[in-house]
Amino acid sequence: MISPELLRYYPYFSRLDEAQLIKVAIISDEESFENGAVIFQEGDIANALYFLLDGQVDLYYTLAGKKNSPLEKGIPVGEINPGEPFGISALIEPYMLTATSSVYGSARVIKIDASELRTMFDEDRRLAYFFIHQAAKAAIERLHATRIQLAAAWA
Amino acid sequence: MVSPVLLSRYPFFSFLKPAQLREIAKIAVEESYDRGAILFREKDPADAFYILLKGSVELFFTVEVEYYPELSKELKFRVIYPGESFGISAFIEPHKLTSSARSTEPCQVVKIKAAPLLDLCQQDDELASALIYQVAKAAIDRLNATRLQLAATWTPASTN
Repeated sequence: MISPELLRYYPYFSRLDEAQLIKVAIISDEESFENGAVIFQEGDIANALYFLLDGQVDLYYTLAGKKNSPLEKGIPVGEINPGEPFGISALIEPYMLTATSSVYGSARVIKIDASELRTMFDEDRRLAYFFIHQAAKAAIERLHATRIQLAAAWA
Repeated sequence: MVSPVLLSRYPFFSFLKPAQLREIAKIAVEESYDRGAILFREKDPADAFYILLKGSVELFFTVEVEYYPELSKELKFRVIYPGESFGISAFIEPHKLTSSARSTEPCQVVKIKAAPLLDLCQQDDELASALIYQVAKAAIDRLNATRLQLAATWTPASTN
């Protein structure tokens, strides 16, 4: 569990009310990672939603599971900055991670148990809307950035 | 208005209750476009959400080169087929379109104005969370497809 005060500090959580902040804080933990640490791997089950407090996390696309993939190291497909969510696939079926996340420098994160969070969504539709809307927003922003990368590659 | 039964056939709305479908059907219209018609342009306000009934629509954006408009290039990165939705930015702030859409053959769409749809969501938390779930799912699916397109352009040397 973390302090609800920690969540309140970030604009990302500002639309949650007091009771919702407490419920989310109860199922959250704070974790720290060193340079190069892999927080999660593409293709794995997405069992947590992450929120970056400090540092930087890079996302790589590796075509995990594909034999003879030429992308051993992976293609950089995004950079997570403090105040942003990642691991958003944890909220959307089939709950499978679509990129690998790797720490650049160092990172301090909030890890929210996705299974518990999804159970809360059944009882609190506004909480569901809040988290899923933020996930959709992050996905659309990353989609736009990836299209720009693609445009550069095609140019 | 369109038929609620028509909406229920499409995955985006298939999970809704009959009363919710009726409310959305009231604010939806069917529209037809000739080949080559522009349905919307990137950077314009995303004021409507679409489902393609017939035909095909390509999504593209224009890469402009500052001071050299003649070098501007159109990049077509996705084709929408019948049954698919597009214009999902209508659900997400800042409600701004991230691509343009053009029909590549005569097409028919269901168009739902964003403002009344978001009003319905304000009144019905269950509808709001169910629709935003579909939006997030569509966005993640598209993100994956675009990453795959990017991977296809990648050469091993580029990863060094």
